[in-house]
Amino acid sequence: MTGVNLVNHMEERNNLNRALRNRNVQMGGIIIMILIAVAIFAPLLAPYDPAKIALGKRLSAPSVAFLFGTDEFGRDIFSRVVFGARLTLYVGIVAVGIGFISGVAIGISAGYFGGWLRSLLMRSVDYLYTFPDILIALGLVAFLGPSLTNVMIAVGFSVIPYYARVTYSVVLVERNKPYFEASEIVGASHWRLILRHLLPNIVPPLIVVVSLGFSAAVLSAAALSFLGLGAQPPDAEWGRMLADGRNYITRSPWILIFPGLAIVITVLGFNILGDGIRDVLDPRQRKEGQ
Amino acid sequence: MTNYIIRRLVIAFITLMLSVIGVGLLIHIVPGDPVMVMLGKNGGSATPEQIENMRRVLGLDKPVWLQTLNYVKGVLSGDMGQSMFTDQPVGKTLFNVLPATLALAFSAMVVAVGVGLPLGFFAAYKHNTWVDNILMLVAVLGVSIPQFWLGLILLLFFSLTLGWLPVAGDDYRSLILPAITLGVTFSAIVARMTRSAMIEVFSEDFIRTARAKGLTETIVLRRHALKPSLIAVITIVGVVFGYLMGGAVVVENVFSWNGIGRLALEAVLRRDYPMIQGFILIFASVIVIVSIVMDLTYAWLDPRITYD
Amino acid sequence: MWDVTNQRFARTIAQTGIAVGIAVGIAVGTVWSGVVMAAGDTITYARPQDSEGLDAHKVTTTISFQVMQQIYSTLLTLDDKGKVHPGVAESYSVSDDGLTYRFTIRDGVMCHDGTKMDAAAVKWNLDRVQSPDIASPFASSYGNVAGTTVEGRDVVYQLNEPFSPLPNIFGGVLAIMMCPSSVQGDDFTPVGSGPYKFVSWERNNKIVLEAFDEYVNVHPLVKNPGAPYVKNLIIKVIPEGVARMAALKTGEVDFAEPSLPDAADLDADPNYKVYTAPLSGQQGYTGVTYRIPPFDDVRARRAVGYAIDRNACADYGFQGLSKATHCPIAPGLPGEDQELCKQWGTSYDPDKARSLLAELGYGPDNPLKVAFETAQLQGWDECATIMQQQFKESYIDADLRINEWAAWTEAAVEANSRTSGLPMIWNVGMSGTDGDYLVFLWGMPGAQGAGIDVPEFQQMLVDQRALTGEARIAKLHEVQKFLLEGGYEIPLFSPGWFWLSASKANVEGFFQVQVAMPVFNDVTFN
Repeated sequence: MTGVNLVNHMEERNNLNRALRNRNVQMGGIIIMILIAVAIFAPLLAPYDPAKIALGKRLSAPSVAFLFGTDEFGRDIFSRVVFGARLTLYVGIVAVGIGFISGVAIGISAGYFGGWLRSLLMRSVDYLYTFPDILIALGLVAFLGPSLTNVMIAVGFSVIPYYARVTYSVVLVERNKPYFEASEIVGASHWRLILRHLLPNIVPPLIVVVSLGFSAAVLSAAALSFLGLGAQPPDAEWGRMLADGRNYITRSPWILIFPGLAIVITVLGFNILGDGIRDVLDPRQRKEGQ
Repeated sequence: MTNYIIRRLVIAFITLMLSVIGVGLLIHIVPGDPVMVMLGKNGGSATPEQIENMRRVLGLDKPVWLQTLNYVKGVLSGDMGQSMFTDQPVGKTLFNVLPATLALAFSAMVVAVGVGLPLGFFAAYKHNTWVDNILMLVAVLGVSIPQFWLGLILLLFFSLTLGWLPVAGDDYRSLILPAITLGVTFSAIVARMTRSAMIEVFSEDFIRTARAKGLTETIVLRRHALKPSLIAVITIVGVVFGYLMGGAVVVENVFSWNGIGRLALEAVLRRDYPMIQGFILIFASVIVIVSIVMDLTYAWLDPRITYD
Repeated sequence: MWDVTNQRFARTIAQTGIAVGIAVGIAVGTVWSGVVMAAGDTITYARPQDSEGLDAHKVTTTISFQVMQQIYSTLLTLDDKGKVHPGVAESYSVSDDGLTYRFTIRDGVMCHDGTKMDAAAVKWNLDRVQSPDIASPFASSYGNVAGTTVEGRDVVYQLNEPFSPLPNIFGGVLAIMMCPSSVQGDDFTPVGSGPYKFVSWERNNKIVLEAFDEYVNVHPLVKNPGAPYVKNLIIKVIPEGVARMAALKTGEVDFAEPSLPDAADLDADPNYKVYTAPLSGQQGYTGVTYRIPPFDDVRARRAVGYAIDRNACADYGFQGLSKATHCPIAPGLPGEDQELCKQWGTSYDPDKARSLLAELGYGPDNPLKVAFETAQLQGWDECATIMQQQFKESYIDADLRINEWAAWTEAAVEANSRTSGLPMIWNVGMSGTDGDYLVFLWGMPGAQGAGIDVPEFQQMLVDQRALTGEARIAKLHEVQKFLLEGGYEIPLFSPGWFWLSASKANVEGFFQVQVAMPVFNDVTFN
């Protein structure tokens, strides 16, 4: 067992090194870190209160005073985009969190315990998997009622299949490995097996899913907010900002450009990061180094 | 082979049945009172008798399992209930606009596959060269663009500013912009999926063997790569179609394209629960049917799949 | 291993391709099925929403009435001063005790399907509104009815109590007369005697109407004595504002409801015309849950009023296209008096708001928490966002939710039935041809369940129906004084919904009558 652990650790160190040298991981990582920094330091970065209405300054074009211009209420778009980063991160974390925890729990239960539980869980997961997540989220929000909280729950629910499936397949692979059988014979408890052996192996592929899941969550949440089902005024959620401003875009295009770009850059960052990690972990890519 | 077909059909039927039951149950997660929503449209000045009457008419005074059973029975006999809002039969309203959404999905599919497939194929072929990198950068950008944003930009530019393309009509010209919006984002997905699939195919041993044998590149491609590629393409098309249906909800609303997506959003905003149940069911059915068609096409192409 | 199947391949591809092609062709063809009409003989009008229904006895929304205005006729009509003129009834008289109305029905009014709009048909309408099967929301707006009888060409409408606003109400869309042949068992097809015949309705897409050749006009404001000049009328749904503007610009539609920001631009542009509705009879206002503390205290209710700057709503929320108003009764209707209402009600005074709330124990560290609901309509969500900010400045912490009417109405009804918990404020609107609509709003149970359970007030509502002339105006003033001084209703602006239209400059003859009802009879294209 000690030998296995040593091999695991060495492989992890290798992976980490390779990851840090991968261009995609670097680029994506930088974007994400900028996003997190903006979210954390929002009050310092934003020159104005994002909810403060200044009707005299409505629809002003970008200028030194208002970097991204102002919206139909005279609110500074730059400040709102900056605070919107907080909301976006918050939505992403909650949604991905729900999906992750539930999905991993389902995958482990199904793969570990097998039997009728496995059939029930994985069939349900496969069923959900065939649907586009925005439809699942829309259906849930339809019945729960429009609010940002419900959007987070709905989006979180809609991404469970991704985590469940990956977890399940990893668990299946690990179960068949000799060390696993050996541990079972020796009488290691379920928890020990799960925590010390399954989880460390699940984490690397799940990082990819988390990263890509984050981008999917941000897009779904923005779309739902755009349709009027998510964030409510005066929340500075990017999708909502686009929805509120859509009648003004003919004369004030900056209302359309900046929140949209914020979404694109954020989603891009998570996508590139996820791609990079996946490239690092994929054995086939490793074979063809150049 | 027939065994396989029968098995798939049975599974599809069970899936659909489960969908109906699930949808029937959904109305009970509403954190409020559906009856009040219905009466709300009259300004909310309903008497207690009217409320009780409505509750009975909607069958909401019965236990949950009985309501769900009634819903399932209704759906099986073609009755999906009446819209809480317009008093029109849900089924009729939805099926009227379904062709419009299907037309949008098909057209977007044509764009997505037409643009994405060659790009993905080419990128896989030129794997790890600068061509691959550029194409994949474009693709990842495409996947990161919110469709409603792209839609608004295109609407603003091509309809309002330039006046080239009409909007909100019934004919194919009004279909162009929404199809492009949907298709462009999905072409990026198609490109990425194609590339992954193709990279696998190209690195397969039998390809190497063929090349080693000295066969010309075209023959290698045509004879050995094509079939697995086709299987991969069909998978991609099947998956993407489901996503196209989802994307249609947003795009239809931006472009005022009169399909199920628009009806769905209205129903959600108005809390028209029977209509919401109806459109979820229709979407689910379309997706299940498409995946059955995909599975059967697989079986046709590669009979080995049927032995499992 | 693969070579054997290459031929089957080509076949597969070909078959799939053909199948897909056919499917696409069928789908597109099915969609491309709009009726092709020659240019110049069709008016297309684009609105952001679809009507809910065309049964005049069941539907209450402006957006539905706008279509019904074309298909049906009203019993009486109103001119631009609010004076009552003949309609389907060529004359009427009222008994001295005010309990018996006699409407003489015009001879020879035809329905679209050849049946007659006669006294029997009018009775059918009046009875149907009162029938319990229909449960019409306006049953009470027709007065306390004993019964209706037909005597030759006359319809005798017998009341239990006097109802002096009746002629005003019967002059408006609330008294639409449908043709009885509309109802066949469980089926309903709109058949009327109005200027346009119903042809078809694709839900959420378009309603198609056709001019009624035998139409004879009696409306005082319409110049065209007969059938509308333009044969076809299509009322289309285009929810997205930018798309509507694009459609207007390219000529795809002849009329469109402009988005508020565009309306000002279009007005200044000589290539376009913008139409408002001076006879909208609409009034937007704020209501509060007066049963839930602290709103059971009049100081809290008035504090809400002092916190609101209605001018900001009108000028910024509605881009200056609506006007700030102070009376519960809409401008132009009997009993409306902006000066008096200003004295009784509240105007923007945040200091006053804050000091009143301070008396009740609220302040910057302990703000008054409320739920704040309103509908998703242009101008309304902007106004609500502005109001939310204003509330904040007066230490009211308003959790804003913007929903469709039906959705938030449920929440309001629930809140109005409670006497504890989170209080609610909401913005809503009402329109009509007479201030009697205050009975619908504030009588019991009231709109959104907000009826005011104070016996003296309820008596005032009943009394005003029995009075006429100056006495009635005085009583209506009393009613409004109660509402305003008590802070139960905080009037905001007028008009507020579906009242704006725009067209290219080459369109002549379009205007709107009560209550924001478009009239197409006179429309011609240059």
